[in-house]
Amino acid sequence: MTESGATWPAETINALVDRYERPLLAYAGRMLGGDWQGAQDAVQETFLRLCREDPVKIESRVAAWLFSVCRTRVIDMQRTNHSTPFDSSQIAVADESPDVSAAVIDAEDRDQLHGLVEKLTNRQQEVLRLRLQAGLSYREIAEVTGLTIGNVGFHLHAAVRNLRDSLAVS
Amino acid sequence: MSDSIWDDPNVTSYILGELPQDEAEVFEKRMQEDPKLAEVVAEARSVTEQLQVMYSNEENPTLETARRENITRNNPITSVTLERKTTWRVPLVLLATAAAFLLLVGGPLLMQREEGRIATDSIVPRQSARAPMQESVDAPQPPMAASTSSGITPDSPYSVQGFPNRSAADARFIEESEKSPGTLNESDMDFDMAESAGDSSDIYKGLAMGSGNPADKKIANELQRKSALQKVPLESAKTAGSQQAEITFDKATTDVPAPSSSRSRAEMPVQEENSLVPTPPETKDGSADRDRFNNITENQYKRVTESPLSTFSIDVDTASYSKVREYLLRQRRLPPVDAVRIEELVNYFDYEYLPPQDDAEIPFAATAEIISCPWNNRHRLARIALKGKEMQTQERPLSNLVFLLDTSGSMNARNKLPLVKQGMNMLLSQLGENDRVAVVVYAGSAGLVLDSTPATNTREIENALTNLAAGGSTNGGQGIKLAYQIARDNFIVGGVNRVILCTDGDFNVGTTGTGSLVRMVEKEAAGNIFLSVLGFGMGNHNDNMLEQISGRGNGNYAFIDTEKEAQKVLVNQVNGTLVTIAKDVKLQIEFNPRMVDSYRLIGYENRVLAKEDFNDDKKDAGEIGAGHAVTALYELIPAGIKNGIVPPRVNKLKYQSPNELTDAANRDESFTLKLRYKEPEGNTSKLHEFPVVDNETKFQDADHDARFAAAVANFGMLLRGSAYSGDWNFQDVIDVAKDAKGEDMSGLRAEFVEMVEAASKMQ
Repeated sequence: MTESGATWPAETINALVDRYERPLLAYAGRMLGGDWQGAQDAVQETFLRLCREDPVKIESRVAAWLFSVCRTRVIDMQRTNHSTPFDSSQIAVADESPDVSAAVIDAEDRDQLHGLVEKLTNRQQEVLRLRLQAGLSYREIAEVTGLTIGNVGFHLHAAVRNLRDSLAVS
Repeated sequence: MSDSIWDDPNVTSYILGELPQDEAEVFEKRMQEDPKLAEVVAEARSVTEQLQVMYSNEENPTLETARRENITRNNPITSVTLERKTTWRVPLVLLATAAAFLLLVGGPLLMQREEGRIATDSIVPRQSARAPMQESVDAPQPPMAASTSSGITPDSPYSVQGFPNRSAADARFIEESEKSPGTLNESDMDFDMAESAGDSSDIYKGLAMGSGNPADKKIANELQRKSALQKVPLESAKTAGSQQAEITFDKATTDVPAPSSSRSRAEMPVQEENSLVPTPPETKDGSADRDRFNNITENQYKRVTESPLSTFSIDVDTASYSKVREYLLRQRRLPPVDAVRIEELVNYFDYEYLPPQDDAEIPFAATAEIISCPWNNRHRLARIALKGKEMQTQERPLSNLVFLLDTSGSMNARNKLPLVKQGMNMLLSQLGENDRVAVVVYAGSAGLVLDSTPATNTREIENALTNLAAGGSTNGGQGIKLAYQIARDNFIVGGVNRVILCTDGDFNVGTTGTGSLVRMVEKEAAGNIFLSVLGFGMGNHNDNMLEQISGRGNGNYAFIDTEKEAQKVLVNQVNGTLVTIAKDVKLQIEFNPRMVDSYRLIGYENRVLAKEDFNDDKKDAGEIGAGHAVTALYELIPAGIKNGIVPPRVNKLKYQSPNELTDAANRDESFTLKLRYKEPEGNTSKLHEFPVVDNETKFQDADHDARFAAAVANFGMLLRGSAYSGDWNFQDVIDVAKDAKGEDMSGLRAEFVEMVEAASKMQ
């Protein structure tokens, strides 16, 4: 039972899972260096915690809450998981699978951009993903990452700027 | 030079809409004055747009089925019972493909297994042809070990466990086919490979643990029911040489190999060009079938003595019908059970109900009659018919329409964005110079493509439409806010103020969540800006959410699959689509226990209201548009008829005695129909009621509309595998529908017959 006694209606949980499972898995998977099974664990755990969380408390900021919890979970996993190192150059990532029907034409461009994104700092990659894939606001990203809002804007802009520079060069 | 401009993080904040209003205005002014800044903004915008496209094109996994079940049951440790009842069937093609796959891959796969080859921690390079095999090797192979002694319809071809390679695809296939009989495109398949075994191992674990669970029985019954309904000789798959296609889960006896360490398949790569991988059939538009439908539990019989009142909201949506048609006539497969909403099938058709008199107080006419029930000759069938006031185009109030168009990448298909444009052009041709149209698009970031413009300004509008292109991800949350904003800015008092959302489905609500979206839609509806939803294309259609928001937004929800359907919704019925003549229309039927033993409302499952909601004006209900016809059917069991399908009586109450009959019960009325509705802009409902007497009309003597509606309803029940479809089969539906076709100017009834014929061949 939660503090206010309120619980989540099943349909809300369902809708939240529908809405956030993909961006959360992408986010966790990426942070875990492509360990998609680990990402599944982390995201499942995140949603299970959501079920136990008081809806009244977090209703207004579910997105940020989900990503924060997921992030913490991932970091915990990284701590306990250090015994299984991986070679980052070989990590296969799911986002390299283009949509076959649509991809042919701009696949090359995208792969190029993808490669460039990979070269950004982890922090920049993280805020980019939170903003452009998960759709979080600066304020929410700040809440998730512990950065200040200004810092979030700074990192995002730096990422965009870097990409623009690299795209201009290539 | 422009480098120092690039130092300003506000550039990105501005593009992403993060600057507060006042700062954004200052920034825009700066941009106007400084072309270099404008250039930098344009460049940065191009980068963010490309990024958005990149992210939206990422094929990200969803949660594994077992994990999702865990979450929905809100329990971290429980076993998996797979109790969802819907569609365990897999289209024939899939099974055949699967069988072929077995032939191709099964051999080497087994050999590898014997060699004890295990893909531990292996990071297989992309595009390696071995990837899926290692996948499967790694995963348990239950079909091989599974026993067929289960009570779960061993010969049901639809039981999903027919997959030779249990590891990879099928766990996902279960998930997919639960939602709708799945077809996946290649990239999805790849994904499944990558995602793979975690699903199945968890499922198996769950199954092993879950035996004895009462849910098992439920599944068994469900499957039996399904297979009885849809037995298909699966010759192709059988001859393709595997009993695999017939093997079913047996939770009690399946010997479950322990799944190996999860890490081993953690980073299975995506592989793209492997000829050994089965290519699952694609849906028509080439997209994966991720349509989501809410589970519908059929209404049951209720005893009049125990539940004398039946209350529900009307529903003029027709989306389910077009959806079912898309499945049957174009994709040539049976629709998922939950895609079939019977009331929407019935209400799809035009019925020649008489509209109210011009001077009538109520904006719609309501009638009811009782005829014999054709599929159960001891029962009666009550038809309640509402017909909205008709409206000539010249009488239509001025319209202020804001189109909210989804232009995300997935709309880039023949039957989506081009059809949207076509539909809009059709609608525009119906509008006059004083009507206004605006276009807002959303894809990644939302934008106003066309500010509110007179509808006759065709060139400007067409220009805006021509330049639309699909690309980017979806951020509907911002889009819908903007659309409402434009609608408010151009509000026409006493006119039609409406946001029309055109999307192929996933309406990504940004950071706000569904709840607040629904609240926003409700709030705007209270401010007399209504929302209609036009669904396009198959594959990613979030049916549930679209129905919900259109319902809350006092709008209607139509699914446009063809130009013809666009013609129907946007031209022939444009007044009904645009002009709401009564809102929050609720029906409450009070049955007379002296005449009626039990009743069952056919369809309207997700529209049923509590009896208290009827008089509660705060409770939202459906709207009627100009000229709309609404039909509801009840199957009635007359008093004194013995039957085995009504749930048993509850025990007599200890402290109360049952209500006594009133004098009114001695009249021959079977029921009294009570209606509540509000004027389109009113807040207080009006009540209207009248009694209905059974005149002993025989089915064959009923008018053709009544007979046709009955045929459509029974068709819906057959598609849903309902236990209440009586002694009818598809042929009976065809016979009655053909006979009751009437004039059928539109050809829609003939098309219906075609659909039933198609369905009857698929059983």
